[in-house]
Amino acid sequence: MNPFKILNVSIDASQREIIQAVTKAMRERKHSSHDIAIAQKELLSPISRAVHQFVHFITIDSLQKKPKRKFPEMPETHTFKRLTIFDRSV
Amino acid sequence: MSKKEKKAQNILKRAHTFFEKGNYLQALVEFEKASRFISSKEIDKKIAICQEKTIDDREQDLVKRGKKYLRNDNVRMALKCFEEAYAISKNPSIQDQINELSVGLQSIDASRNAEEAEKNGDYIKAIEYYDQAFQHANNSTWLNRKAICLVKANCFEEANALFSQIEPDDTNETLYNKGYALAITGHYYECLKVWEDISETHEAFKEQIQTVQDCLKANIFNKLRNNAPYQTLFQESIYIQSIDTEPAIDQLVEYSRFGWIAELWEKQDYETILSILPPLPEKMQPELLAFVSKLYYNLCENSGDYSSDLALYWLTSLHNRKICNALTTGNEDIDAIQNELIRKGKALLQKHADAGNSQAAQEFKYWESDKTILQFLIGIMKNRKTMGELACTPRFAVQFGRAERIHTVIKNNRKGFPSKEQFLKTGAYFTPVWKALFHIENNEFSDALTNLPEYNPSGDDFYQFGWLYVHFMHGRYNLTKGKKTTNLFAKACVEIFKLEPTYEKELSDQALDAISIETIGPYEDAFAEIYKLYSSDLVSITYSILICHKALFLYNHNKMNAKGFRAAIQKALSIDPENELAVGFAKDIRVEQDISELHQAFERMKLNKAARIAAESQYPEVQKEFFEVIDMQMREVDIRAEDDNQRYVLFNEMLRLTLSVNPSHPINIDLKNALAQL
Repeated sequence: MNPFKILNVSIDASQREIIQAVTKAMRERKHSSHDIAIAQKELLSPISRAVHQFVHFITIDSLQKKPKRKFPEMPETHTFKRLTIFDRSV
Repeated sequence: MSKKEKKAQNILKRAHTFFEKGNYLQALVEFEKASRFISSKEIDKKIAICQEKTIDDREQDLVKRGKKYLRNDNVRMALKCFEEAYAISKNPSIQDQINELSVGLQSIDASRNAEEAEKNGDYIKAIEYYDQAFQHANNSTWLNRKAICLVKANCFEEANALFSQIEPDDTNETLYNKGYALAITGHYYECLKVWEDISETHEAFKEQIQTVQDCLKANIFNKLRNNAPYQTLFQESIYIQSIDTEPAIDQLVEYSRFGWIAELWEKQDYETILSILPPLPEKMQPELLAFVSKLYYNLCENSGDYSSDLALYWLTSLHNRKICNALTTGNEDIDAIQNELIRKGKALLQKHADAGNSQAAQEFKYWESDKTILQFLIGIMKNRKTMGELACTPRFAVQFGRAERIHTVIKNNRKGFPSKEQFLKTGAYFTPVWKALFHIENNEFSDALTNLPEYNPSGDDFYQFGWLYVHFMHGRYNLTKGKKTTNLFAKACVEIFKLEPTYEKELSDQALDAISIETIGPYEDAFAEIYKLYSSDLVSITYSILICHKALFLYNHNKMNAKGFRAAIQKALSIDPENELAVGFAKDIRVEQDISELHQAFERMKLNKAARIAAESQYPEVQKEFFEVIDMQMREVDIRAEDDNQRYVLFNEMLRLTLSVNPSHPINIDLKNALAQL
């Protein structure tokens, strides 16, 4: 169960935002009231919130390094002619 | 009757015969002939019936022929037959058939025109004809040909659109043209994927593939700059990586991979993430370790089939110092968060184990062993700052090549271990023997032996100890069940005893507690082997006692004779001369033997011999027996002697013998008194 998804809040949502999200979630009825209540409880407790943050969010900035490269020349396209070797005799 | 009338009657008769047989065509001919001679309403009626029936036959015949032409794809002739049939019967269903065939014929004609136009190089015309043909009939071949004509006519976008809507056939011509259109419109990757299915090695085609590949490579960094979707970048860069190795491409693969992973994570599409996960390096940075452990946690939430993967990464990840430190950015207790995460991991395994997943059940059993070893390892590490990256579970260490470094840590922290056995056992967990050791921890002794790898004589001390330890524990368990041990049990015992003498004491106590012959026997056999290799005091004592126990049992149950029993006791004494049990038995045997020889001597009237046996025997019981026999003989003198002279001789002899055995025995006085009275 991902309480952040249930309440549609971000990882750094404040307590106030969480409570507001609960109200909204109840109105939208995309999840059962039981799930919403549990999500609220989990996110309002510092320990369980930290647990869910660990489980449901990933940090991969250091794994995703943008490469830098010079752009090579594009080959001449006019040499890119359609071959007829595959044409069947109609 | 006239000739004419007779002829008419014959014709009529024939007509009726044909009619009854159902040959209406012949019947009609005859009835018509007959009607020339005879005018009759009945004949007219029959003629009308015949005409109706023959019409039906002709119609059916034409429809049958029409269907046959259709089966042979001769639409034109089929249409002609149906038209003739309709002309006869005006049957509406035949009209429907005619309409359908007419339309189909138009399509066929159009397709023929299209092929002709294509042959003449008028591709636009050909396309129009194919459109016409397709208006009336759904034919995938025409669509394919239209698409090819679009390519030939340089209408590449339309060609792409059409190819994407239809199911192209798998001929090289179709595949090539489809790919070509894609390449010309800048879809190089898609082109190359289509061309992969072309089985053709023509040089020109190979060159063209190369050209498209070059375009792909050149274009991909444009796409990167223009923020193309990560999925596209990943798929294309992976393809390029397969044909060209270059650091920038490798970087692009990883960059796009993790970009896509981030998007998939947001959608909670963990299965797809798993399919694109990179091969995990031995030196895994904390971010990657954390990510992988979270991935398997989330996968395991839905399926117990990921239990082993969860167990592999979860505990190690949560004991990594950097990962731990990042668990909180506020004032929350890191230990509490860590413990809760560990608890959740275990709960997940338990949930699947309770649901019947055997993999989860096994991992649940190993969980505490993993945790204990890992935490113990961290506990003994002096330099927690650097070592905090190294600490991991045994299986993680073995899989990711950390075992050697951990062994170094263990050796450097030798003083942290309460005993050498604990030191070696901890190191053994970080060898390929780890799984067998886990089974031992869980009392799964058969599984332990099954999961023990092949013996490696060049393995280090930890490995050797672990390997022997498993054999020792397995053998020890088997002995409690009265089963035989493996061939290696004795050797394992010797090594283990040298390292940790308490095991020797435990095994000995266990052996001496054995009660039934079913367990005593295997213990004796095991100790026989151990004794050959290691004749310590305790082993000798235990072995000697086991020999006695077994021999006594067999002797008491008449499964061993006295001679065998004596031999067993002698053997026990040779192993442990101070074996009190054996000494006692030996004494009993000796006493019994001396008494037996004593009685034999008396029976054979070899009294001197009897006296000598009694005198030389170290056992008072033998002397006692001697004097009892003499006493009995004393009382029987009156029976044996006829007069006082004979009595005197007998008493005198007895006195001589008794004095030689024991001069101070009271019987001497009795004998002397008896002699005095004579």
